Amino acid sequence: MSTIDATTRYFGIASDYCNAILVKETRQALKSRQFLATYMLLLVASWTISVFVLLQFGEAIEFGAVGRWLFLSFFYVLGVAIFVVVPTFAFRSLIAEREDNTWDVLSISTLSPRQIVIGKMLNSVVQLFLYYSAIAPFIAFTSLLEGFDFAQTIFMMTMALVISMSLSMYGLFLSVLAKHRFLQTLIFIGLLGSLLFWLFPAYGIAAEILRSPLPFDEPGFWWGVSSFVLAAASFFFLFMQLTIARLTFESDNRSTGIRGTIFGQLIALFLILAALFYFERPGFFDEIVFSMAIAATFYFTFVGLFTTTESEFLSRRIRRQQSRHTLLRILKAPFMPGGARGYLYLLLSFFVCWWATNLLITLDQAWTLSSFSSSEFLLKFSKLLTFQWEEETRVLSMMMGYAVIYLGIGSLLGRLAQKVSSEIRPAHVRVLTLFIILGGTVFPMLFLLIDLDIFRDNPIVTITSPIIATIMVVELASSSTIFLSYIVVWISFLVVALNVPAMVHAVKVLAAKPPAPAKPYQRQEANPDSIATTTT
Amino acid sequence: MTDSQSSPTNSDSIFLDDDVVFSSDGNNSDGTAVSTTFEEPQTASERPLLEIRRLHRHFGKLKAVNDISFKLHAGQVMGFIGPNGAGKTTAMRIIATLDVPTAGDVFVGGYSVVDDPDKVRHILGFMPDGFGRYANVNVTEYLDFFARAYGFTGQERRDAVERVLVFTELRKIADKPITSLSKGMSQRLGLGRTLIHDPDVLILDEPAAGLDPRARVELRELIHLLATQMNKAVLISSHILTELGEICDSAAIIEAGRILAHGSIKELQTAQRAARGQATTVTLKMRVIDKADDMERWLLQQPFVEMVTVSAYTVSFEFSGDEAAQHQILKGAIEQEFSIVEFLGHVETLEDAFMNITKGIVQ
Repeated sequence: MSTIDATTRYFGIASDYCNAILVKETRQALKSRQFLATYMLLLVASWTISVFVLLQFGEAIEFGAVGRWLFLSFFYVLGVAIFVVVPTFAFRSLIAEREDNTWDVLSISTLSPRQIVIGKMLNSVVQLFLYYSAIAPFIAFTSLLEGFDFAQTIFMMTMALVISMSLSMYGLFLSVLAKHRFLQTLIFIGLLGSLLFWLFPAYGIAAEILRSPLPFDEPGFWWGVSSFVLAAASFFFLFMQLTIARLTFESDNRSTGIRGTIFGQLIALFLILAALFYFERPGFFDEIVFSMAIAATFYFTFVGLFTTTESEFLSRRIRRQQSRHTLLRILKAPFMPGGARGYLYLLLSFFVCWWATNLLITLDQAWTLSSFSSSEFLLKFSKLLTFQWEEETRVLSMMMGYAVIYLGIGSLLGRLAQKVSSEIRPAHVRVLTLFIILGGTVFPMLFLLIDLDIFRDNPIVTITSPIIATIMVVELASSSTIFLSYIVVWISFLVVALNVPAMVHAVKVLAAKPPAPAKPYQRQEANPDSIATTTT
Repeated sequence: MTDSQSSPTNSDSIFLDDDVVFSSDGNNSDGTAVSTTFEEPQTASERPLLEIRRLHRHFGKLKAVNDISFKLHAGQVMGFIGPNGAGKTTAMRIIATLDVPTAGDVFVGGYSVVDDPDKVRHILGFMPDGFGRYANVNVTEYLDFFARAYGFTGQERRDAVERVLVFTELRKIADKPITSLSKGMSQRLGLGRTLIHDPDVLILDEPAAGLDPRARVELRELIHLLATQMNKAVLISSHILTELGEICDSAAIIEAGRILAHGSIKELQTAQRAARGQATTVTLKMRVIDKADDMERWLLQQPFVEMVTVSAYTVSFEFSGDEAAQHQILKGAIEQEFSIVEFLGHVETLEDAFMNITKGIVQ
């Protein structure tokens, strides 16, 4: 057996363990004109740059910092392939399945949407490695020159890989957003435009990194890099879950993966903050925690707009997939599909966020320069329980309160509307909720027609507007604005109470014994002439 | 959510439901469903492989599929016939787990397409109308991909691809890019892909569309083999009714989202005539060398004979008797020494049934 035959055989055996989509897509990609053209252009461009630099500098290439700038040139060439071509290819690969009418036969195979998405993603990774391998000899040549920094090169190439993979997943996500060709074209133009737009700042950052060496020995740098990579990874998984959900069969569970990932992001955020506190304890730690908590509140309000307005219907298929243990099913309830369970999910997320934020801030405040004061900690902690909140806690509680109020009212009205008419869809409820938020935000503006100073004199009239009321609480630390913030919190408790029956019912549905799984299929007796032996 | 209680739009429609009594006007007493009981084939086992139960699919106000029900057993080939926009493809897409019903359900091998689509996909093969072809992939690679997609690995996968290549006679073009295949070969490849996991139920949407006569005959033979030798249940939609008439045991005629009739072709015709209040007559013709007028007079005196017409040397008449009575008529005519050279009974085709039953309603 020749080496080529043996290699082919081993690849064949190895491919048995690979994702089917990856095998097919790699076969297709390696024969596609687009890939071959990009690959050849990358080689030709890199070769041209090398020749040009050699001719330009001659023997002087041995001196100065030519290596650094030559690497940058190769990085620019690689950047087009990995920041633009690969994500675009990922976008096109799923769109093409629909355009070429291959999606139907693919989706009714036994491949799950997860396998399809992972296969498409892995194909992008294979392409990335092929482009990396094409540019590698040129970078190896550059490493012989003066000014080449090995650590920086590795760092830049690794970060570029992380970013390109994230962009590819983003491209895959965008490809499932629209089914109509016109919208798909618009999204494609938007994607291509944003990738090209992103390319130039990326080039600028790369040049800046090479101009001023990275502070690899500073802990702060690695905290920043770790946070960036973790954020990129978490959004990578989130976009993957969103893409999978869009491809998932209608009666199946489209929510749990997304809810779990987003909740995981919240946990990861506070774990990072806890680690930062434990190892570094920076002077402005409470500000970092507070700003992250506010960002998380906005993020979960946006997420809540979708989770609280979902259809309450829990298909037999979903119920059947649940654990046989009642307690596990109840604990999993906030992560299961349905508007009321979505509201429970929102409350759980806010609960975790609120307590994690306040615990970290309290710990930070109780930690003096040299030691931890447990009495100080207990004092501040008791204030949290007795509603004697400091401004940061009040603002955070107020913002969470608004989200709980508006999304709770939206969820409540949505359920009522769906009882009145089955034509009311989750999208309608979402729009209704948005209108309620918008109406509440704009409503206090009407008072300005009566009196321009009315907000200052009567902060309570701003109560329906999250924006104006929060500004009032922050700007005017008066007793009336403090009262306003507590009012919002108490109203939020009231709205939660109104939603309790629906949430209890939603949990009860899950607590009920799940339907029995389907029995295995038994093939009916066939003619002894099987397909294996029959020929026409 | 559903309007399953709404009455049929056609007063003479023949609508299925096994437990509903068939009435002369084609409707039930409650105006809901009308049925002709389909005689199940002798070879079929008791449990249907495919069962459609009160299936509805609405797109806004459009009722693309409106309360259809039927069953299909192993070894049975059923034609799914209807004009464009009748709801055939929508129903087939639901059966194939590509869409979900507004109400009702479909059971494939006992599994619901709503609750267990993943299990259904192991049992069912769907060949859509105009399925796409991947670029830069040859015939073997295409089948290999779907074998992988259905979970085959190693030798099992290679065997699956090989047996499909042999069955569909694509072996000789195994290395050809699929984008360069002719329509006939593409349809064979599509059928091959549908068979790669050896499903028990096959749903074929317009498989013969665009094929030349030879390719149609070959495809017909393949489908016949699948049903008779491999015991597969096949639901097939086509506009070429003569083709369907030759390969189908039974047919379901759909129009405006409703099944108007269902059963064997003979049953459909009989039921249709009964629904229209006509006796179960057939048109018979005798061609003679001479004495056509004498034969007309003789025929008018015979039982079961009506509406005798003479055209040149051909005598046509409506006959309401059974086959034994037909034999008696022919025997009598020969005894009367009429110079008969041809005796023809009009064979009711699927096309006749289709034209009689459908009304060309477009939603």
